[in-house]
Amino acid sequence: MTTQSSVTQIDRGVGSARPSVIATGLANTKALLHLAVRTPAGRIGLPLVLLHLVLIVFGPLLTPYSPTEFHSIPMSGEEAVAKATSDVDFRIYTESGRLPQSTNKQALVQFYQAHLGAVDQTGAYNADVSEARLNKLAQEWEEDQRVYIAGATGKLRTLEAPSVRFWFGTDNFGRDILSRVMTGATSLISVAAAGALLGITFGTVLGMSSGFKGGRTDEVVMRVMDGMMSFPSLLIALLVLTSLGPNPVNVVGTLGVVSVAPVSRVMRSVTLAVKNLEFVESARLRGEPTLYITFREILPNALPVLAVEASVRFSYAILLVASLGFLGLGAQPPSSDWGLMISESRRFIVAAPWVAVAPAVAVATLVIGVNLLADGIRQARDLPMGND
Amino acid sequence: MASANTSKELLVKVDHLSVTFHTPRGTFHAVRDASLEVHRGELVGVVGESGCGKSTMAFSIMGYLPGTASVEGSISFEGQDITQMSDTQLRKLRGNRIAMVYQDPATSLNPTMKIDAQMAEVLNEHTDLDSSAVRGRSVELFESVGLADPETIGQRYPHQLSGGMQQRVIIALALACEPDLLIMDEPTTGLDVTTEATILDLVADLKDRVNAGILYVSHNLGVIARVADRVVVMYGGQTIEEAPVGELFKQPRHPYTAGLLSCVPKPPEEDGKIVQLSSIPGSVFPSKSPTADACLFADRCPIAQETCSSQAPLLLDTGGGHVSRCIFHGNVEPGIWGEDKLLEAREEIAHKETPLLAAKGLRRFYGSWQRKYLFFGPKIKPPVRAVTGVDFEVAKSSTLGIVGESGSGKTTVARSVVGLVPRDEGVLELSGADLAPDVDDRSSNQQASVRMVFQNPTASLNPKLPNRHSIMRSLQKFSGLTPAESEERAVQLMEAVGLNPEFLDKRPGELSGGEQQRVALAGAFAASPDLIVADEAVSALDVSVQAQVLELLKSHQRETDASYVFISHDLGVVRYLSDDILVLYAGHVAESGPAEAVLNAPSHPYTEALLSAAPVPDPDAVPTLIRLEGAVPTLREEFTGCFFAGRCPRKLVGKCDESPPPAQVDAKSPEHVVHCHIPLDELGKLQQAGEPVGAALTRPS
Repeated sequence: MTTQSSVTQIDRGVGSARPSVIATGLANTKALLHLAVRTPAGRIGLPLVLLHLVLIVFGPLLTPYSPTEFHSIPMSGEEAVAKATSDVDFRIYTESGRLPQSTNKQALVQFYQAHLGAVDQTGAYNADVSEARLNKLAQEWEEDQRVYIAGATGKLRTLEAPSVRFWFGTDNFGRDILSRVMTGATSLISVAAAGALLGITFGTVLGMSSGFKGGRTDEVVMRVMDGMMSFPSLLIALLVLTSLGPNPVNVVGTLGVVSVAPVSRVMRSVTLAVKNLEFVESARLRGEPTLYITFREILPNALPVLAVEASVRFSYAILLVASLGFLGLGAQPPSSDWGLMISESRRFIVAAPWVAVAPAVAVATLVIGVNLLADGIRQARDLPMGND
Repeated sequence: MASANTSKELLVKVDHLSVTFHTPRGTFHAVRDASLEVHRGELVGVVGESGCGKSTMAFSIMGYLPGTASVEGSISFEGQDITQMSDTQLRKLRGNRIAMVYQDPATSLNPTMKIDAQMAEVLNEHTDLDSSAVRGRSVELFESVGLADPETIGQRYPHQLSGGMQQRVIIALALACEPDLLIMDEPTTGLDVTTEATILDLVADLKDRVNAGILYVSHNLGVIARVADRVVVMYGGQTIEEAPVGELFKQPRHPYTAGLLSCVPKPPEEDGKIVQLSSIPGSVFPSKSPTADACLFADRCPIAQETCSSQAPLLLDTGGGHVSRCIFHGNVEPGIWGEDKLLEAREEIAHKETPLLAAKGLRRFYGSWQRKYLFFGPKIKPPVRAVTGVDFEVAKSSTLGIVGESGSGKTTVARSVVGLVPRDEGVLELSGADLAPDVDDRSSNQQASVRMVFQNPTASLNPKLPNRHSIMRSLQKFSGLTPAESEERAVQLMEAVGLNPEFLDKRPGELSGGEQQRVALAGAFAASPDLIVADEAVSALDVSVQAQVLELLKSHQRETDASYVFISHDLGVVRYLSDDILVLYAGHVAESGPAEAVLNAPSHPYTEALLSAAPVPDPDAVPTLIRLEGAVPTLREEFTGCFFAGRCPRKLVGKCDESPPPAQVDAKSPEHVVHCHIPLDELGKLQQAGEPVGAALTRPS
């Protein structure tokens, strides 16, 4: 049953390789997960979480299409010109999706004729029309008149409903939503996980040390935590990100800061419950230093509670990152961050609801999955402990 | 089942009952084959160790089992089968015709309701009395269970009553509707021994007064001997023996019963010699194992033969109302668990050389002065004086037993010695060297020399770490052995405490309570300490396991010359193990000295009361009625007079309230000191004549 481990040992005793805290902790967590699967909550939660884990790791490899590719229906250059001159609503975009300055229909025709030479024999568009050139052209026309310049090989498949070709449909730029959702997992979850982990680590150390020490130190630390918890986390995030800039590192740091307080409270309460048990007193009688007692004796007993709290913190972190993305303070376009996707889809939510639904369902299933798993772990912990 | 009381009305007949729990953790056979009868007017005691199924059986008579239970066999109450009844029918019976008294009085009463309200609940549910009649009946009932102030006690909340009073209230609630059957599940286990004695008096009294049958479940043979008319012994979920109480104790007809009886410490013979405890090897038949087609006790039995392992025995009638589940019951004789060995007489410990541990004037306060305006103002209430001026000495290779009830300060003394609770005043010296109040300030050698074993074996071991953890840490820190040598030593230690060395890699959760306590002892032995403080180390263990651990402690002392400070509320166990005894009351020393001197007359009145209260596993012992009412007080103020004056049955009016008692030295035994105003020879005469100090002290000839 003993696992030989070479992980750094916390106890500085004359050691034969005995399992360290981390190895013991991992073994316990594994056992806990096995039990969690036996509960109804865990049975739903774990597959959902695993699904998302797969997405994080393999998502970018498994996408049917590239997340940034604009899909379009092929069209010859002449067809494009004909369509452009006759159809007021026929819109054309450049590769970057940005719309250059506009002009009237006459100028459009002129422009096309100027470019027709750039269309080769197969009718494919020769991407010689650079942004700069187009913008320059646009500048030469009057303002307040719109012209849309021929792009790609034809009409973009914008806002297409879910079909066999595109399972989740396409967005307003003709990008495959499924691919975007699959690649969006990585940035969101990795940032949320990093932030939660940061908060959990500091929260555990702070909470357990404070709880074990007791007395005035404990009181002071806890009141500081209370102060921190009285600020809404989104507000703090907005404050930090608007002043320091919306990049992933800042987001991770903010998440860490807002997660420390609740984690420290929970870990402190577990420490208080455990520190009066007789085996801790036995350790004191052996003259073990405080640090050793806290992290070698008490921490393994606190891990089930920590597991539950970690899941909760993680789901809060996800929601926070998605909210920040929605507000535009997280990832920036053309990132396929789910929050950003939802934000971008607001304008056509009535005409094309699937554009918003797909990333929303992704966020929801992740958060629900994590919470159900946490519930499952909590229930598993309360199951009469088997001796297997 | 044949019963001696066939003339009395049969109330309950449990016939081949089997209760199995199907849980996600596994299938537990709590009761495998239990049969017994209870007649009106008699008290049937059910005895067994943990896991034998006695509580489950008691609950199933009430029909109170969880949904995971499947029941076979029949329980007929006044002709009706309980196992077949619906919830509505059961509800009519419970509280009304069958009533139950539980183990922990504090949790059995609703803390948010006054006593009156709880009594009214029972009466209104089952009777048609109007409110004034209910009140009248309440007062009547409170009086019948011996509560002082029966008129006003109803207005109090449960937390305002002491443990003994709470239990009396519960008994009153149980008797409210004049039930036909009263089931009592270990009602005195959570109480102090003096309070227990008063409750047992009440139960014995009820037997005569109340026209009901009583089923009394307990693990304590002394209690059963005191109150029962007939006794049923359970093992592994089966009833294995049933007999009238006198016969069971004198002539048991099952090896297990004989083993149990020889595991319980008994009062010494007339010449003062104590019989050595034998023990039952192995452990209880696990409830997870399916019922084997054999005698469940066979693998631990000293007289087992071939047929015992191949054939499941049935209950056999051996005549005179005595029933046994042993095929060879005729072979059950006094010597089967080993010849009665007498312990060697204790050598007079030479107290002249430097004692191993010397304590002088120990004082410990809890809390601080209470002020009039929370943080300011004049001081109005002093802190609690947990230990006041305690002196004692422990010699090398000897055992000091500390006796007292809850609130006496013995735990505080133990923790002060060890350093978990820093003493406020006083001197503690280990072999002449001063011990710092806090354990962290002591030298490594001192930390290694003084170890502690706790009451709760499960909490003594870290549940997430393997058993080797505490042993290896001690060895690493204190023994200076190489890892390989430490490993060997750990194996040696495990064998010394009688455990398979494979257990080193298991987790505490896989071990039973007794095995956990032995691992904790191995951890304490690992540092080769000079002094081990055992704080109620055997109180939470079953009787047979207790005997094993006591023998283990004794043999360890013989081999290593270690000393023990042994704290317990159980006088029998303390007498068995101790060379010297210290009796504490409310933080003061009442009496101290060599064990036999303390426990014989002359004794401090408190010791006398403790001795007369302790239940003895001998049904013929006549209980002496020195009873103390109330509980050990929490002392705060400086007071004049004796610390025991509030409850002393031999109090001298005037003297005992005016000055603290002098320390009187016994002329016959100069180490024996009694703190009492009454001159010792007078005390001795009073205690030996008139009301002797516990007729339970020596066995009747």
